[in-house]
Amino acid sequence: MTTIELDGVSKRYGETTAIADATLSIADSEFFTLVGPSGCGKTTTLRLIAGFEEPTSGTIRFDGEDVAGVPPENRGVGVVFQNYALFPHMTVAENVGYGLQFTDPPGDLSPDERVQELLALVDLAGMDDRDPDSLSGGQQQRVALARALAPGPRVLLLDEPMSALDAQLRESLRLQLKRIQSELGITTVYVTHDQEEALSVSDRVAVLSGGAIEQIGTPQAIYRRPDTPFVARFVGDNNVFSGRVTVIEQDDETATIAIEGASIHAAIPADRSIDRGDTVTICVRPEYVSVTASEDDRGKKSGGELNRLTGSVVSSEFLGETTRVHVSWGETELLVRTTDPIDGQVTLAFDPDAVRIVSVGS
Amino acid sequence: MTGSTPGTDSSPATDGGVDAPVSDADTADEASRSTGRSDDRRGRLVRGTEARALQAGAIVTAALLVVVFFYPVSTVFIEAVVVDGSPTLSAFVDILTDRFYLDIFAFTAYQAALSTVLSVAIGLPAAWLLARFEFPGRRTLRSLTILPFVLPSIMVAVGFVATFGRNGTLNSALAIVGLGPVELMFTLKAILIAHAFYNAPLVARIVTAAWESVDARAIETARSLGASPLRATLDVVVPQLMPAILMGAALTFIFTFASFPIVLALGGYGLATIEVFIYRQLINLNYTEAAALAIIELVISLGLLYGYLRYEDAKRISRRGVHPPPRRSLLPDRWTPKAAMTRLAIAGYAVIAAFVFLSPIVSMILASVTASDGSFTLAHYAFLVERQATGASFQVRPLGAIRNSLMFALGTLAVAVPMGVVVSVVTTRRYRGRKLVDAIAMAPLAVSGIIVGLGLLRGLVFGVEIAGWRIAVGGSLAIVAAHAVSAYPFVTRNVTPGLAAIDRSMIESARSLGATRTRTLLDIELPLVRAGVVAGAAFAVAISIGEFNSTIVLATGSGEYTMPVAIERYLGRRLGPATAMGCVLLVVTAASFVVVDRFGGDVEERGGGL
Repeated sequence: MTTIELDGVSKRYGETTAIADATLSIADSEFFTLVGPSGCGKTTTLRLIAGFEEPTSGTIRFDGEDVAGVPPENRGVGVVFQNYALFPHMTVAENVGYGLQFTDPPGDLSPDERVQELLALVDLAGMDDRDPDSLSGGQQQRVALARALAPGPRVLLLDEPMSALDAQLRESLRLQLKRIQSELGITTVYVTHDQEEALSVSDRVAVLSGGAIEQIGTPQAIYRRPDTPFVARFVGDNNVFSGRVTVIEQDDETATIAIEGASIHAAIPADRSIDRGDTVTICVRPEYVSVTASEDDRGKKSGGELNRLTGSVVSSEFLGETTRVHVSWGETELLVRTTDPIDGQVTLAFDPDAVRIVSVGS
Repeated sequence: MTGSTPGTDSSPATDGGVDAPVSDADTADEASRSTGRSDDRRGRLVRGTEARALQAGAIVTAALLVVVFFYPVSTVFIEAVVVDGSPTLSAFVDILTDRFYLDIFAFTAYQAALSTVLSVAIGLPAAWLLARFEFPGRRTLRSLTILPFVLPSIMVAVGFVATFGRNGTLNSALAIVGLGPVELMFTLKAILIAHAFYNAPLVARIVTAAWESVDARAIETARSLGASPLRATLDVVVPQLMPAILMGAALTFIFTFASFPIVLALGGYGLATIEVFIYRQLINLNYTEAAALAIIELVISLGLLYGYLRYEDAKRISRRGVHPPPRRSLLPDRWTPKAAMTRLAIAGYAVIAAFVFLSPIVSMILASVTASDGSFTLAHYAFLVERQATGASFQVRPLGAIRNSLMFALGTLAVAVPMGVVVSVVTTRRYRGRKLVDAIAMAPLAVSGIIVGLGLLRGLVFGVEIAGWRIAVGGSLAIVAAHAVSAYPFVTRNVTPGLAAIDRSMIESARSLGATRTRTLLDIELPLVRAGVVAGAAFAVAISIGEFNSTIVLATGSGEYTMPVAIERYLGRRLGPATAMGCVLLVVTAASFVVVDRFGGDVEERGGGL
């Protein structure tokens, strides 16, 4: 039962600011992910929560209680690092049991029983006496997870735990981690640079860039309704443009935006106010764009407010399930998806609701 | 799940645990949470003590350094600038305007420069052999390059006296092939060869490491871009070796600049470095002049050391993920003319290397069993036995010297190892001013042992008056202190690289699992750098047993004579007993080295037993 709150937390190293004025709150049992490119401040934020570093300003609270000055050994955090950080001079069991010297095992278990329980939890029963070096990367990471969980921490902190593993292993370990996390109901903070990973495991995601939080939301919200151009570009494939607002519809629900000499209709989000003449940045996900060869399109009537653009295919990458197609449209290039390879002149069509306005400036 | 508050005495109620069903007694959970942090006073006490253990260690180390190093040394230095109670720089002015002293400075630098050239010339081919060839015993030879560094300098000096003397092994060997005697004793050549004995292996070690870290892929890339083998070597290998060669040269210059026992024994009264002259001034009780000379020498040494450290910092060699090119076999598969020439050159080098490195040891052993007429004798050893049995109390008795040496070595071990480890820990953590602490902690390396000895003698052994109380330290304690001061930097140097290489996340994992900073050090870091600690301990023992510079100053009575001091005393009479004592010292040094190594290797400590 642990909640974590960050209130205006900043960390500066001399001249450089690693994280600036971060405010967020993580609910009990939540799987919360910090995602962003390297240098965005996500690892610093995790280290501040763990107590390895103290914030330059701001407050961190566990269950509403300020943890400033509480050293990591007294915070009740379990940490898993990218490189596993297993103690090479101890066996697997000694690694998992290390923390039980300082904290009694939860429940009525003896330390040995607790170690067995954890090894079983991560599917490593019987590996007690192995040396960490003799294990595979995935096994080592599961030992690290068991070790972090053994003393029954209030919070589980994972710093890019999958980055050193190959893609297939990552996927299966991710599922296992998610299963264990929801089974234990432990509040978890997960740091990754991999947006796909972030979307797949998290209850909520915070996207960070340049030491600032860009957006916090559920994976669906982050993907479908990015709030900033950075989030739009960082999470998934996207087409991002800037243009000027030429028309605001009477009902205030749709705006017409001039881009590349064409007019694109976009739904106005409820939380944004937009005026004629504003410069806006918009994005359209490739999967919301329908692609047809232009000759097939002849004779079809342009339907209402549906956005229609014509362009020519520049290149396409066959990915199996889908084909990613780069279409040149005026000076820019659009990324779309088709099931079958396509070439030549194409018509691109998408709904105004598929267009997301991610920033407004005058 | 509030049971996570670490404690050793928590009740089941506070320990829900991560996998226990969510407590239905939420109120009890609430209550326990509010008291969770203060529920265990004993645990907190243990933790509090542990948390401070590291600080306490650092404070004790700092205090010890002040008492046995900085305070005594500064009393000597003050003597140079305060004459008859008023500050003056006249001693410096006198020295720096005196043609006689300037000549000594010039000679000191000159012999250091020549020694450096010779050491690099002998060290580089060894590095090439060790880095690029495969042959039986290569690893052993590589680890043996550390040996000269820990051999007692007075013993090596005796070895070279036995080699170069009028009736030495060199002249005996030359006489056999009908060549006239050469006079090398008390010449610069003898000093240079002895300096090469010490420093060429050092150059070889540093350059070998750099050579082994040259990535084969870089050479292959150069070749694939059209470079010939020679061009690829010049463009890829040489630039990577240059920093190492310069570092080895710089260290050699620094060491030989402050050389003492070698020059004292081989240079006679005609050739004297600053350090030798400081010692002579000391014997003549010219403290002011000795101190002023020491300050000048220290300033020069520190300048050199600073420049070196700056350079080392800039050129740190990374050895991560290196794929070195394969080694060649010493015996080629096909005897081409080129291969034959190369092997001939190697054979020639082996002869020179054997002369430089083996002759002092072999000569010493031979001399110890050779009578003046060249016949085999055990008279020199008999002399030691006889001196032990019938020597007067003021004379140097061999057993006493051996016992003293071993006692001092044990004392040094007990003081220098913890000190060195604490300094390592303190200087590998990141904080403002770390470089300054590092420099201060390494200062004993730069200050002449004679000055440390003199400072301890006048500052502590003769006693100081503090608030009416006269505080004096026994000579033996002072010697252990001096030995510890010169030994702990070597412990630090052996432990620091390992500590610095430990992944920070490993330490943080232990911390997050509930270990205090001190516990983490004991459970994780020290076990991982055990090899470095053991190596440092072996160094400490070897340095203590061989220490000469400060011991010769502090060993005022027969109760404090060590083996090196005994050798020096006997050397004043005849070579025979000195070489016999030298052989005893060789055996004791080798035995202690082996014992420490064995002992360290047998300590199978697994941190964090359940």
